[in-house]
Amino acid sequence: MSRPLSGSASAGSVGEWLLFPDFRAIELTMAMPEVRPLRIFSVRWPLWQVEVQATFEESQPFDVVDHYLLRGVVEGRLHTEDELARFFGLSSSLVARGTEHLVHIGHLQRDTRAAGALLPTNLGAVSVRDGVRYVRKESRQLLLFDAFTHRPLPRAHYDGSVRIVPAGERNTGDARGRFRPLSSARPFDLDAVHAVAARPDRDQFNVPRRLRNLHPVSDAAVWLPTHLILADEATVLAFTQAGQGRDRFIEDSCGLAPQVMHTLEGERGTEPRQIWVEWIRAQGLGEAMLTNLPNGVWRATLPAGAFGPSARQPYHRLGSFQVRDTYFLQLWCVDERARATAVRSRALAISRRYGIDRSDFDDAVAAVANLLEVPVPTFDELSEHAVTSGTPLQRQALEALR
Amino acid sequence: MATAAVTLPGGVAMAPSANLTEKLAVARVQGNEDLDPERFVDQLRRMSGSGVPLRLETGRDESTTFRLYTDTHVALLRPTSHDDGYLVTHVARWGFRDHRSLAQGFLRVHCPHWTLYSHVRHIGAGHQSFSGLLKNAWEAMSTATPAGSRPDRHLDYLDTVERIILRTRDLERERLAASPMLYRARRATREQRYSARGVYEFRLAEAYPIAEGAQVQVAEDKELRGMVLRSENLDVTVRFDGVPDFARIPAQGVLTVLPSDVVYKAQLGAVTALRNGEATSPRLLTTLAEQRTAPPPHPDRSAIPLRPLDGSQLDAYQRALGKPDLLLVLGPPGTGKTWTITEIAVAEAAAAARGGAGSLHRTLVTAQSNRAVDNVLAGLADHLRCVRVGNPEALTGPARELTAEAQVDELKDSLLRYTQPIAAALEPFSPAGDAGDAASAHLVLLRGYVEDSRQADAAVRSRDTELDGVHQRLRAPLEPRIAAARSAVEQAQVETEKMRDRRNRAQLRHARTAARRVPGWWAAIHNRVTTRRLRALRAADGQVDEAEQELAALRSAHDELLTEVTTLVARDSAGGRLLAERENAWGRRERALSQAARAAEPLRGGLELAGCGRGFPDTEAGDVAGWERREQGLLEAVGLARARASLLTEWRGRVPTADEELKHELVSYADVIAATCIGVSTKNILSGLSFDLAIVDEAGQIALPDLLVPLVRARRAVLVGDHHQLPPYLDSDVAQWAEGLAPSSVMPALAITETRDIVARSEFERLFERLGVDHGVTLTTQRRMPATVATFISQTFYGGVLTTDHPGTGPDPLFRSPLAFVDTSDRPPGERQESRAAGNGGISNRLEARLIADLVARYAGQHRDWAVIVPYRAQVRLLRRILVPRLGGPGNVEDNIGTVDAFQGNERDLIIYGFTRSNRSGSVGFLRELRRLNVAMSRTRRQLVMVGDLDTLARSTDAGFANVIANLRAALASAGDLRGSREIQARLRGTGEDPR
Repeated sequence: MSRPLSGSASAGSVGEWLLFPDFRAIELTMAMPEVRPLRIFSVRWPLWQVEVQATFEESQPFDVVDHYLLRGVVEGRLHTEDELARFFGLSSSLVARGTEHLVHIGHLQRDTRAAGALLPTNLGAVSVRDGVRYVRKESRQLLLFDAFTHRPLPRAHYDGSVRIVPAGERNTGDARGRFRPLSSARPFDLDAVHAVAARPDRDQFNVPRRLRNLHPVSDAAVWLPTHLILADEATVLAFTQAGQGRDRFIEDSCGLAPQVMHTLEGERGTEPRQIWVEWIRAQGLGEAMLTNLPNGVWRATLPAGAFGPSARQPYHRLGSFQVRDTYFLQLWCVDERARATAVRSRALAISRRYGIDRSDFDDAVAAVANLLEVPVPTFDELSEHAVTSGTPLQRQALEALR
Repeated sequence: MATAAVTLPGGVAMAPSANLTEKLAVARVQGNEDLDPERFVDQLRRMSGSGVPLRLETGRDESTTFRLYTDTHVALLRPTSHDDGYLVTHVARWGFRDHRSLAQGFLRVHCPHWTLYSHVRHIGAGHQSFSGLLKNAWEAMSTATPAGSRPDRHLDYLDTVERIILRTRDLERERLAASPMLYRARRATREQRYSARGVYEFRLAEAYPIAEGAQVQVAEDKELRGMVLRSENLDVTVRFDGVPDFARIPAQGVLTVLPSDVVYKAQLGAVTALRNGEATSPRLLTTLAEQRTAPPPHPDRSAIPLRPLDGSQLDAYQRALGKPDLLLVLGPPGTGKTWTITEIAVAEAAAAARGGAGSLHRTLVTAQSNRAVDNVLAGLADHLRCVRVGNPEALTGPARELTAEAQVDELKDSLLRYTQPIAAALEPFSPAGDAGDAASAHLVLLRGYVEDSRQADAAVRSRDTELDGVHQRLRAPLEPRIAAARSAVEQAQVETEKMRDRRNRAQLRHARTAARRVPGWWAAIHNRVTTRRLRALRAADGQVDEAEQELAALRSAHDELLTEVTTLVARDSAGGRLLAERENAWGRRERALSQAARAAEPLRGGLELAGCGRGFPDTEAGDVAGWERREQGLLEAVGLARARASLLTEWRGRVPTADEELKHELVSYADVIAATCIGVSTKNILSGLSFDLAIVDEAGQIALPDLLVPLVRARRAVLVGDHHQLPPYLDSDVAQWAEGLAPSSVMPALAITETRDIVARSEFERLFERLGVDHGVTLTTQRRMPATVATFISQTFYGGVLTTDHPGTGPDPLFRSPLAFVDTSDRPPGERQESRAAGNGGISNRLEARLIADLVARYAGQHRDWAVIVPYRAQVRLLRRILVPRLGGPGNVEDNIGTVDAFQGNERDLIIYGFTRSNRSGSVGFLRELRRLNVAMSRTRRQLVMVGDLDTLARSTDAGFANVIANLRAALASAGDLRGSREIQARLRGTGEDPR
C-alpha cells in the first residue's frame, strides 16, 4: 500500500489533482437510497489560503542574571533597579539592561503610576513558578477559508494527501474542461481569522490551542479540486480528497453560495443519449444496448464476453461508471457470473487502497456487490480469487486484511 | 487572481436595453421574476462595502462589454452613445464561464451610487459612465507584472565573491601543502600566561613566511596542534591548543601549517546569508552588488555630542545619528576618527536606552586586526557596557579586562563582596538546620505571648459577662428606687433646661434694651425699662442656680444607689470571686502584651537591618486585636525576609558555577561588542547575535570577504577608514590568479573586472568612490602633525583638503623645521648605495642604517617618544642589529623600529623614515606604493626626519613617486629643512657646528 503523493506531482495531470475518482463519487452516491444523482461536475472550489502570524510561548532555560532579577521582583518583592542592584551586588547598568530585557520579553512591566516600579507580568510570574523562561515567539502557518462563506476549513482538509492548487496553476490535459474553476468575487474578510481564533474548538480548524494573537499577514487564492454531484430536488453532494465519503463542509458552502447552485443548475450540455451513442461508437462497443433506467441512470449493457482480462473492457469497469460532459453511464452485463467476477476483481483493487481496514474493506466490497446486484462474496472466496487471478501485491494486501 | 480596486468619482446610471426590456416582459408573463434589473441594481447597492466585481471584454467588433457580478447574477453593460451611463443588455445567473473569467482577475469597483432608469433617454444630465477610467484601470491591472525576484545582477555578484573566497582558500591550501617547515630546536618561553596551555618556541631551519594566528601541527601529531603567536626571523612561537607533554614534542622535526578553514567558513557563511536573504539588513545586498543605496536620511542636526567635535566630525556624527543604512567616514591621519567613533557609539547607546528595551540595540565595533579593535574600544569602555570578544592572548591589556571571561571573574568577586552585608543581615532569616531560623524562635515566642494575651483577654470578657449577671441579680431589688431616682434626675434636667432658657431670654431682652440708642428726652424712661429688665435677668439667674443645685443633688442620690449595687456585688460571694478573677486575668493580659512587645522588638530590628521593613508601624494600637495584626505584619515581613534570604543564598551559590550563562548575558546586555571581523562569526558567544549598528574601523584595510562577515549581522554600518593609507593585504598568488583570468561563458568580462577590483581594493574605497558624494564624510581637521608636515601630506595625498589645528613645535636642537630631510647624496655612490641580500633579495642600506642609528642614539632622546620606519624588513633587521648594542638592550628597539605595517594607527613625537633605496637606475621598488609613504610620514606628532638618497629618489622611474619627491623638494625648500648627511652626522657626533 502506498501513500498517495501530495502536492508536488510533476506531470500535473488531472488525475493527480484529485485522487478520488469521479466514478467512485457516483458509486457512493448510487449507494444512497434516497438520492438520485443527475450530473457530476468536477470543479476547482475557491479557497483563501491565508498566512497567519501568531504568538506562542516557548520555554527556554533561564540564564542566571535574568532569572535572579525576575525572582528578585517576584519572590523578593524588590521593585526598583536600585534595590535589585544592591541586593544582588550587580552594577546598576547591568541591572538596567537585564530588566530592560525582562520588560522586552514581557516578564516585567513598569508601573507608570509608581515612578516606573517594576512589577511582574503573569508571564513573568509563571516563568518563575515553573523555573523556565517562557518567551513569546512568532509562529506562521497557512489557514484555509472557503472563499464564498469565509468559513474556516476543518482539519481534515489539511491532510497531506489533499491537494490544494495554487492560483495560476493550470490543470494540464484539461481538454474536456474537467475541474472547472468556481470563483467568489468577495474580498477576503480579515475578521475571519480572528473569528476562527476565538472559537473554543479552533483546533478542529487546524489552529493549535497554544497559538495566540492570530492575525493575517497575507492571503492568496487557491483551489480545492472537488466533485460536485447534482441530484434531484436541487441537492448537491460534494466529494474531495479530505475524506473517503461526502465532504459535508463543501456541501454546506454550496448551500450558502447561490451562484454555485445557479451555475450547476443552469449548465446546459449535449443531450445525454447523443453523448452515449457517440461514446459507444468511439469505444467500438457496437453490441452495447443503451437504456435509460427509471431512476434516470444511463446504462450500456454488453455481453459477458465483452469483459475480462483479455477482453475490451476489464472486469473492474463492469458495473462502474463512465463520465462524459457531466453525465454518467453504467456499463452492465446481464450475466450474473460475470458481475460476480467483476465484484471479486474490484475487491482485490479495493484491498490496496491507502489506509483501508477490514471493516472499511467489507463495507466497500458490499457496496460494490450491491451495485452489481450480486451476493456479497465471502473473504475466503476473495482469497481464492486472488490466488487464481490476482497479482502478488493484491494477494499480499488481502492477506494483510484477514 | 489579479484584482485591483477602482473608486469612481460619481454615481453610475444605467437603463435596460430595448431588447432586454422585451425579454423581461416575456419572462414576467411566464412568471419568472428572477432576472429583474431593479433587483440586480439593489444588489449592487448592497455591495458598496466590498466593491462590485467588474470585467471588461472586448468583442470582435472592438466594442467593449462590461460585466458586473453580484452573488447571484451577472449583467452585461455597454456605455450609452452619449457616454453618460450604461445600457444593460443582458442579466443572467452565473455560469461556469463567469467563474472561469473571474478567476483570471477583475476590478473591484466602488461607486457612490447606482441608479436604474427605465429607459436610456431618461438618464439625467450630468451623469458620466467613467468608462475611460475603468478601461485604464483594467489595462493597468492586466499589464502589471508580479513582484520581481532577485535580480541576476545580485546572483552574479554573490558568485563572484564566492569564487574569490574559494580561490583564495585553495591557493593557500596548495601553498601550505607544498612547503612543510623543518625546525632545528624547540624550547620553553617566558610568555605571559592566561591559561595553562603550552607555549613553545621553534627555531626553523630556514626563514618561512608564516602569519600570526596560523594553525600549525608538530610532527604530524594531532595532539600537538596550536596557533602561531609570533614569527620573527627563524623563531616561531606556538601556543598549543592543550597542555602537551614537553617530552612528546620532538627536539627536531617538521612544523606543518594547517590549512585553516575558519576564516573562509566565516566569509562563505556571510555570502550564504546574503544569498538566502538572511542578512540583518535587507538592503545590504543591493548596496554591495549594485554599489547604490537609497538616498541617505536627513542628518540629525539636533544631536549634540558629549565632547566637542569639529565641523566635519560633527557632520559625520549627526549624519550617523540620522540612521542611514551606510555611512562612509574618510578619516585622514590625525583627524580624530576614534574620537568621532566614540561619540557615535555613545550616542547610539544613549538612543537605545531612551528607546526602551530591544534585542537589537547593540553596536558592534570591529576592524580587521585585534589592535585596531582595542584601539577604538579604549575610548568607549568608560562610557558604555563593552564586551571584547577574542582570544585573550591576542588582546591588549585594557581590552583583556573587557573580555566576557574577565568581566565574569570580576563580577563574581565583586558581587560576593557586595552582597556579604545583606547576606549577614538576612542570616537570622535563613533556615539553619532542623531548628529553623532565629526569626522562628522569636515568632514562636511572640505567638505564645499574643496567644496568652488573647486568652487572658477572653477570660476578662467572660468574667465581665458573669459579673453582669450578678450585677443584675443584686440590683433587681433596688431597681424601683433607681428608676425613681433616674426619673427625678430626668425631670430636674428638663426643669433646669427651662430655667436656662428663661434666663437666656431675659439676658437677650436686657442686652437689646441696653444697647438701644434713644433721644435725650426719652432717656429717663429708657433707664427705667433697662433697670427693670436687669432685675428680671437677675431673678432668672437665681432660679437657674437653684434648679442646678437640685439636679446635682438628685444625681448624687442616683449615683449612690448605683454605688450601693456595686458594693453589693463586691460583697456578694460569687461577685467577689468573679471580680478577683477578672483582675487576675487583666494582669495576665497586660503582662503578655508587654512580653509580646519585648519579643517583637529584636525581630523588628532584624527586619529593618535586612531591609524588609519593621513588620508594623510604631503607631499601631497596642490592644490584643492590634497585636494580632502586628503579629500578622511580622509574619509577612519575616516571610519576605526568608524569601530574600534563600534567594540570596541561592544567588551566591549559583554565580560561582555559572560562567557560561553569565558570559552569554554580559554579551546580551552589552551596549558595544568589540571583535575582529572574522571573530564576529567564529566566536560561539556571538552566534545568532544581530547588531543595530556596526562601526568598522580601519575599513580601508579590509577586503570585501572579511568586511561581509560583520556587515551581514548589522542593520546599519558606519565604515571608517582611509584608502589613502595601507590597502588590504593581498596574497600575491591571489593577485596573480585575478590578473590571469580570461573571459569565458561562466565568467564574463564584467565579472573579471569586478573580481580584480574586489581583490585589489578595500570595499571602503570601492564604496567611497561610487557613493562617497551622498554617503560619505571626510574629516578634514587634523591635530596630529605640525602644519608644515600636514600641508605636504594634505597636498600630496588628500588633494589639499586638510586643515591643521596644531599648537606648533618648539625649537628643535638639530633641525630648523618639523619637516626635515637628511640627504645622503652628498656621499659617493659606493658609500651610500643599497645592498641586496642573496636569495630572496631583501634590501638594506648600511649608510642610512648608521645615520639613523646615530639619530636615535644621540638625538631621539630629545623627544618624548620616537619610531623608525623603513620599507624593508632587511633594513629593520640591520637597524636592530646596530641599535640593540648601542641602546643597551632590545627593549626600546623592538617596539620602535619596524616597517609601516607595524605603525598604522600609531603616532610618535619623532618619526624617522629611511627610504633605503639608493641606486644608479632610480629604481624605487615598492616605495612607489605611495600609501605606505603617507602612513609612515603621517605618524609624526612633532618632528619628521626623512633619511634618503634624494638623487636616486628624484630620478625614480615611477612617475607618481617622482612627482611626490618633486613636491617634497619644493616643500623642503619653502618651509622644510634639507640637510646633508655629512653635516648631520658631524653634528650628532659633536664635531659639527650648529648651523642655526
